[in-house]
Amino acid sequence: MSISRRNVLMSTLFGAGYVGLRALATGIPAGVLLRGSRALASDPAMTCANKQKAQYVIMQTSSNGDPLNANAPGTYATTGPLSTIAHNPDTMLMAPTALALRGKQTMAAAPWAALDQRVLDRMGVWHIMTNTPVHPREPDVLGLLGATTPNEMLPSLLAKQLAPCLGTIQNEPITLGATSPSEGLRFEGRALPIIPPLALKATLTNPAGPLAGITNLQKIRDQTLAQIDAIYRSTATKAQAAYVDELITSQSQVRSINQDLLSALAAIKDNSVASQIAAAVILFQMNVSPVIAIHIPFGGDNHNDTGLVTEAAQTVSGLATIGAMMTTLGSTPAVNGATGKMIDQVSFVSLNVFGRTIGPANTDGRQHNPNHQVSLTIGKHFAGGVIGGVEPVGTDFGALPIDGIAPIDTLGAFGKTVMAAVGIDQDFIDKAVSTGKVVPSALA
Amino acid sequence: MPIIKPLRALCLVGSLVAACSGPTYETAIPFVAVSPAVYVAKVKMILVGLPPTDAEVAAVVADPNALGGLVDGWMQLPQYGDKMQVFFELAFQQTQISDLNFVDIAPPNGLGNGKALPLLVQNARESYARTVLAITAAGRPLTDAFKTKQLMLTPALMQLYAYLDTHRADDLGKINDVFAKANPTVKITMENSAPRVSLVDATTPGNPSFLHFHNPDLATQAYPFAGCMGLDPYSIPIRSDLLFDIFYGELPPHNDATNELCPIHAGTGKGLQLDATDFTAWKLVTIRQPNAGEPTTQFFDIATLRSATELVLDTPRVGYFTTPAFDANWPTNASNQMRVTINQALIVATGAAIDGTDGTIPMTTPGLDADHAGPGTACFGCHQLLDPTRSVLASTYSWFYVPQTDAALIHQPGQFAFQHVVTPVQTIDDLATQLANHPLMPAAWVQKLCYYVNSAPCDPDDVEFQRIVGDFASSNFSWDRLVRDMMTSPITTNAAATKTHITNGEVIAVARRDHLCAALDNRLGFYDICQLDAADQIGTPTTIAQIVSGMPSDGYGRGSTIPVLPNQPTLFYRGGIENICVQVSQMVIDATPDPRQPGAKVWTSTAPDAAIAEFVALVMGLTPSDPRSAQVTTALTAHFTAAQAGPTPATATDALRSTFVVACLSPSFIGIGM
Repeated sequence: MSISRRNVLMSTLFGAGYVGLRALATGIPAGVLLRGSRALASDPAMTCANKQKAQYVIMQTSSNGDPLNANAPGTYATTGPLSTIAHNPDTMLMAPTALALRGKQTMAAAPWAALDQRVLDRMGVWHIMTNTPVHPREPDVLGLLGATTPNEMLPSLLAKQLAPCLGTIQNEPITLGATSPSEGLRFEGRALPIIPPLALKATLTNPAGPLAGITNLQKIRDQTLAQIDAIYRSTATKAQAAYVDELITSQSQVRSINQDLLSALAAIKDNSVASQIAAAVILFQMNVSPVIAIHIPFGGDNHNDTGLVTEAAQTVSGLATIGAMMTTLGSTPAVNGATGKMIDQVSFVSLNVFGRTIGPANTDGRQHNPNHQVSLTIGKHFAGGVIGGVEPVGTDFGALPIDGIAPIDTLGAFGKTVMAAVGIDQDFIDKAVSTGKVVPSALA
Repeated sequence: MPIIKPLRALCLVGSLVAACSGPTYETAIPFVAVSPAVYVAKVKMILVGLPPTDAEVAAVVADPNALGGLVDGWMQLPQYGDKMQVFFELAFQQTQISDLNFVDIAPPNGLGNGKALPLLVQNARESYARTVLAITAAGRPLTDAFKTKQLMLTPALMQLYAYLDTHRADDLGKINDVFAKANPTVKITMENSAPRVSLVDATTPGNPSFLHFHNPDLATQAYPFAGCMGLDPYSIPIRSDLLFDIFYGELPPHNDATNELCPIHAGTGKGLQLDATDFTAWKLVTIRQPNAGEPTTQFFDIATLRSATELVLDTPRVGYFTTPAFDANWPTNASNQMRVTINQALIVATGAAIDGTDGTIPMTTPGLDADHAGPGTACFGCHQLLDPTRSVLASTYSWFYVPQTDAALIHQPGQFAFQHVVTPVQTIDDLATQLANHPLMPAAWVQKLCYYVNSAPCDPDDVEFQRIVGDFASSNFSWDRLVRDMMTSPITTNAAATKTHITNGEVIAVARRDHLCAALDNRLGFYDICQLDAADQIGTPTTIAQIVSGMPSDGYGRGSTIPVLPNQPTLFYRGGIENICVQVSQMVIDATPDPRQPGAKVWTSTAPDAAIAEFVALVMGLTPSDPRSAQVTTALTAHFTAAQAGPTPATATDALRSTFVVACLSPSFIGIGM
C-alpha cells in the first residue's frame, strides 16, 4: 500500500469532519477544532477582560501551615493584647524591626525589614481566616472553601482567565514545588501532575549530543505521528478518539515552546526553591502557563521546634528567597512583547492552609490556627500595607474583619482582590467567588 | 452529566446479564462496546505490562469467557507480583516517604545522614506490600494482612525496628535510650588503621572488639579543627542513635585531644557497615513482645538479625498502620495526638474518613478533646468519633510511635466508633481486627482496584460493582479472586454496558509512571529503566529518571479518600515521554550490550523490517491480526525510509531510532484503553 493511498483510506475512516486530517493540514490541533475541554489557551472562544493589567502569577502554597503569621507585619505591638503574642525568641535573627509598607510604618521580624523597599511598597500583608485547622483541607482552602463557582482552585481560576490575555500555551497552572499530592493542584476537577524543576528541565530539553540526529528528525516524525494518530482514530470509540485528540493537542503544545529559551533550563541543577523560581521565570518567558505554584518553607508544621529555631532559620531563608526572586524579576526583560522588566508582569501571591497559634504559650513550637493565616501579595497592581489584623480569639489570636468583611469571609475577599489586581473582570469575579468582596485599599 | 434513571430496555444492549438482574439505566452517552483487541491489551498491560499476542486476542474473540483463563495465566507471571507490590505500597500508604520523614518518629536526627539510607527507606516502603503478597500467595485472605504480626523484613529493616524500640521519645520528645541506659560504660570506637574488625565481632557483646567499627573515611574527612583531622582511633560514649548511624557510614561527633568538638560527618559511603544483602535478604519475621524477663532484640546484633525469624520488641506492631513507613508518612504530635494516624488507617481499610458526615453515635467519648471539641461545638461531630477511636493508639504509643509512658494515656480506654460500628478496643490488635472486619472494607478494596485498573471510581450503585464486592466477601477476601473478577468484568473491559460506564464514560488514561516504567521494563527486557529502585539511584540520576520524577503518578493525599490520579496527556507528559523514548531508542537500536541491562532488547538497523514488526507488536501492542497493525507498519516503514532521504539524510541508526520513538509515542503505548 502506498502512502498516498493509505492516506486516502484513512481520511475515509476518520470520522465526522475529518478533524484529524484538518489538524494535520492546518496545524491547528484537533482538540481546538473540536472545541474540546482542553483547547489551547489561545482559543479565541476564551476572552480576555483586561490585557493591559494581566499578570503572570507565582503562587506560594503550603499544606504544612507554616508560621508565616507569627512574625509578619501586623502582629507586633508594645501594649495591649498584641503585646502578648509569642514572637520568635531569637533576638538576633528575628528581632522586632521597624519597616514601612508604602510609607506606612509597621513592625515585623528583622527578615521582613531586609526586603528591598521597592518590594515592601508593593507588598500586601493579609491577615485572613482560613477557618480550618486541618492539613487535608489545603485543596479546599485553595478553592476558597467552596466559595468558587464552579468548584475551582484560585490558581486555576486565575490561570484560566489570564491565559487568553497572555496567550499562553496552556491554560492550566503548573505545580513545581508541591511536597506531596496534598499540595497538588486541580483544574476543572482534574488532578494536575507535580513537575519538579529537574523533571521539567529533562522533559523540555531536546536531546542533544549523540541523540541530536533523532532530534533533527522531529519534523518528519511529527508527520508520521499524525498518520499513526489518524489510524488509531479511524477505529476508535468516541472516548478513544478524544484521547487521541488530547495527544495531538499536547503534541502541538510541546512544539509551540520557544526552542531558543530551552538553553536557559541548563541553569537548573536541583529541585530547590531557587530552582523552582528559576523554572517559573523560564516558563513565563516561554509563555507556557500564566500561573506557577511553588513551595517556600517558612518553618513548616512546627509543633516541635525548640526555641523556634527552625522557624527563625526558614523565615530568614524564605524571605530572602522572595527578595532574590524580586531581584531576578527586576533585572529580567519583560516578555510577551512588553517593555520594561518582568517585575511589572509577575505577581507573587501566597496562601497556606492555615496559620499557627501565636498566643503566649507557643515558644517551643506552634499548633494549627484556623482563625489566622497571613498571605502575601506582591506586584505592580498591589499596594503595600497591612490588610486586616489580629485580635484575641479564645486562648489565641484570630483575624480581624477587613473593611467590614467578617473574618470568615476574608479568604474570599483575598481571592477576589487577587483576581481584581490581575485584571479579571469584576462581573466574573462576583460570579466566580461567592464570599467577601474586593478590598480596594489592597490595590495600587 | 448523563441522565440516570431505571430503564430495563438497556438490557437488550450488550450482554451484561448481571446488570439485567437489577436496575438498568439510560444515558446521554451511547454505549459502544470496546473490541477484544483493545481490552485484552488493557488488561494485560495493567496486570503485567506486556502486550497481547494474536492467539490471546483470537481466543477472546472466539469466546469472551476465555479472558478469565488468560488472566489466570498472566497472574502466574513474576511481573504480576511486581505490579501488585506497587499497588499495595500505594494502597496501604507505605510510600511517599524519604529518610527525612523519619525525623518525626526518631527525633532529633531521624536516621542520620548515611549515604545508604535510601536503601533502608525503600525496604521500609516495600516491606508491607511484600508481606501482603506473601499472605495472598499463600491463599490467605487479604484481611489476614490487616492483622498480621509477621512481616517481610530484611536484616536492615529488622535493625530499624529494633533501633526504634531502643531509641524512645516520649510525648514531649524526651529520649529514653534504653540500651545506653542499661550499658552506661560501653564506648563506641571508630578506627581505620587498626586491623579491620569483622562486623560480627564488632556487634557481639563480650567480644574484645565489641563496638569497634572500621571506617576508611577517618583518614579523609575535613574538620574545622586540626586536632580532629585524621584522628584514629577515637571513642565516644554509647548512644543508640549514633550507633545506628554508624551502620550507615556516618562518623559520629567526638572530641579531639584538646576537647574541641569534631562535628558529625555523613561520610562517603565507604564506611557502610551493612552488606548489600542486608537490604535484599527478605524473610518473614514474627514481631512479638517479650515474655516476662526475656530480653528484647538488640538492634546492633547484626549476626542475630541475619539469622533470626523473630523480633522481640517492647513496641507492639500489627498490620499496616504500625509500620515505620506508615508512621513516617503520618507523623503525629502533641496537638494532633494520633488523629492523623487513625484517620489514615481508616481510609486505608474502609475507604472512608472521619469528615463530619458519619452519623455514628459512640457510647462514650474517651479521650475527647473537651477544650477544643466539647459537646455543642462545631468540632464535636468529628471529634466524638475521632478521639475515642484513636485512643487505643494514644494509650499504646507516644507521639513518636514508641511505647507510651504517660500513665493517664496508658489507662485511657479505647472505643472504635466509625461508620456504625461501635465497640470497645483494648489493644491495637483489637483495632486491627475492627479494621479488617469493618463492613465498608470489601467495597473499599474493590474500589481501590477500580481506581488502579480504570483510573476512575466504580459507581457504587453499579450492580456489577456490587456483584464483585459480594464475590470478594464470599471468597473469604481472596485477593487474586478479586483481581480476576475485576479484570474480566465489563467494568474493566467495557465489552458490555455497566452503570459505571454510564457514570464515567469510557475512561482512557495516560500510562502513569508505574505502568509506563513496568511496560518499558517488561516489554524491552530492561531492569528498572526508570531507576525507581533506590539501589539504582546511586550517583547522578539518568535523564529518564529525572523525567519520570515529574510524570503523572498514582498518589494519596492526607485525609483524602480517593487517590490522586493525573490522567490526561499534558504537554509535559507528551514532551517527557518523547524524551524518554529517545533515550530508550539509543539503548535498543544498534546498541552495544550494556552489562547493567543484560536482558535488554537490541535491534539492528540492518534488519529494519524485523525491528519495525516488533515495534508494532511489542511496543505498540498491536497483534498481526489487528487491522491497525498493517497500517502502522506501513507508516513506520515509510518513516524509516523517509528519514534517510532528503537533503540531510539521517543514518540508518538514527532513522530506526526515530521509528522506534514514533512507536513509543503511539496512543496504545502511552494510553491505557487504546
